[in-house]
Amino acid sequence: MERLIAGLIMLILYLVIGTVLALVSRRLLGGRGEEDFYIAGGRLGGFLSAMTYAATTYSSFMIVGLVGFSYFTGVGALGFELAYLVATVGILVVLAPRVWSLARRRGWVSPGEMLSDIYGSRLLGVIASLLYMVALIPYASAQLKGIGEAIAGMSGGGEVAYQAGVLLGIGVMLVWSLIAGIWSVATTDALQGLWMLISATLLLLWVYSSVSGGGVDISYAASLLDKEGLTGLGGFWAPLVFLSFTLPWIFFAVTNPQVVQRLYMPRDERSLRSMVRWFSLFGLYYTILVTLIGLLARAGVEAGVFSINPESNDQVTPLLLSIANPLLASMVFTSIIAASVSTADSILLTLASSASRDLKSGGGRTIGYIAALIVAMLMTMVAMLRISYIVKLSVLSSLLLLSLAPPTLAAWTTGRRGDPRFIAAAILSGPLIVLVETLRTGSPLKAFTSTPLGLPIALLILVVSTLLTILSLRTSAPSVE
Amino acid sequence: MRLIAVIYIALLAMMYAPLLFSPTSGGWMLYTYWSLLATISVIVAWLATRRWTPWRGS
Repeated sequence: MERLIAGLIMLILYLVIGTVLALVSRRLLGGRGEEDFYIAGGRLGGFLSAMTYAATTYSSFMIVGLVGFSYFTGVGALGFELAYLVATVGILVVLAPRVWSLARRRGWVSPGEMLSDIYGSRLLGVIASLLYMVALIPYASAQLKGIGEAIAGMSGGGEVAYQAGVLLGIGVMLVWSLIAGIWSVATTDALQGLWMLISATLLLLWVYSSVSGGGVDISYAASLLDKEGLTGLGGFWAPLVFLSFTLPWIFFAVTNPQVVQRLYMPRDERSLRSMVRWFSLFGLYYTILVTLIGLLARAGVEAGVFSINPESNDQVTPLLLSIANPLLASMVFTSIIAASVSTADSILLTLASSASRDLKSGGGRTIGYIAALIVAMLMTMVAMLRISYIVKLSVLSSLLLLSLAPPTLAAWTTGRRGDPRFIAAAILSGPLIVLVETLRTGSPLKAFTSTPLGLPIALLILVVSTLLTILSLRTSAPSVE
Repeated sequence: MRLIAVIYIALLAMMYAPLLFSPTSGGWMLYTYWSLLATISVIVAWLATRRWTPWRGS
């Protein structure tokens, strides 16, 4: 009962602060139509740019999934997540100024518009938008499912509590994204990002003090993890598995529309610089925190300090919280909701911008509102099914979007107009390969680590899409510069 | 900026280097190795963005 009350108080506090911030952010919303609503009219400051990039990128997968992943599979989970970070920071440092500058000059609002504009074909924007919908609705629904499970777990309730959690989640996402568009999303993202960092820091301090209080120092923890085969790349992290997991994610900054769109938003080069710098620091700190929590928790369990017995990745954090101080547990529980909301409301707004700019241009914000409501309904319907299959489908989102990487990188680095027919084929090659492999292996998860033609599926997608992109660029066409 | 691109490609390649040896144990060594590479990538980001000369393409 004590935990439930603490959890509810913390949840209400989070909702009230977030809603007040969202309402205050309405003052920042200018009158420049869709540009202002979706990309802040390119007027976002450095702090908000960094926090919205970080909070959108890092979903509840970190504090729930990655903690469990580290707990069960060991240090390889850190390598997997840091490979993503190194690649993303590199992409941002090298290419963000160019994308930011092109977006301002050419008036891009949605990520699909960038492809349409550079390759001179409106159809490409339509294809990309449809692909975003297919790939990201299950991903965003998985975030809603996470909120439902968190509420059900905290209240000890069943289906009703789960459904209430899903409805609460979608309600918060809609309100916070529609009050002032990206302005309310970015300001609430800043709150949520800070909440995620502080609560993960406190959780690590609690895990560390519990483990060291139980006589397990860092070197003893290492020997316990060694004994379980969790400090190397044996067991789960075979080279092929490591490649399969990391390849789609190292292109996340290029393929996922909700983060691509964030490159259009900073006010000036100084704000863009702050975004890249502070996001890189956020990512490094948060990843190290989260993986340490999982590894130290495992050492604590092996040493008999913690008496929890998780059976799957997603059970580790909830079980740790069930034995933690109620106040700490309620903070971390709320951070799980914050991480889900900050990722999913950004996706919601990005998909709405895609619908209004790429699928039905000239509709203004009204079309955006309608699109957001339709996307929200679809997300809720999928989440209400409460099937583990949603999470498996969401895993595939990175693979489904991977074929966008070569055409996008070619557009960003060369700015050349290739033959749009080959670019369309390049973009569609990814979903097609994933579909064939899912049917062949009978499961999206098996497809994720499958090796068609002897190559990890992610590598095959990259090779096919790259070849088609090269073919496209070999046709002579003017540059967009 | 091309030099910075090369540095990041090298850092990323080094993230994958442990796959060549596939160590099965080693205490915190692998953890430290990966954390160090990521820390270097963050430091490079802070330094490289001090005098930011955008990629101009070909």
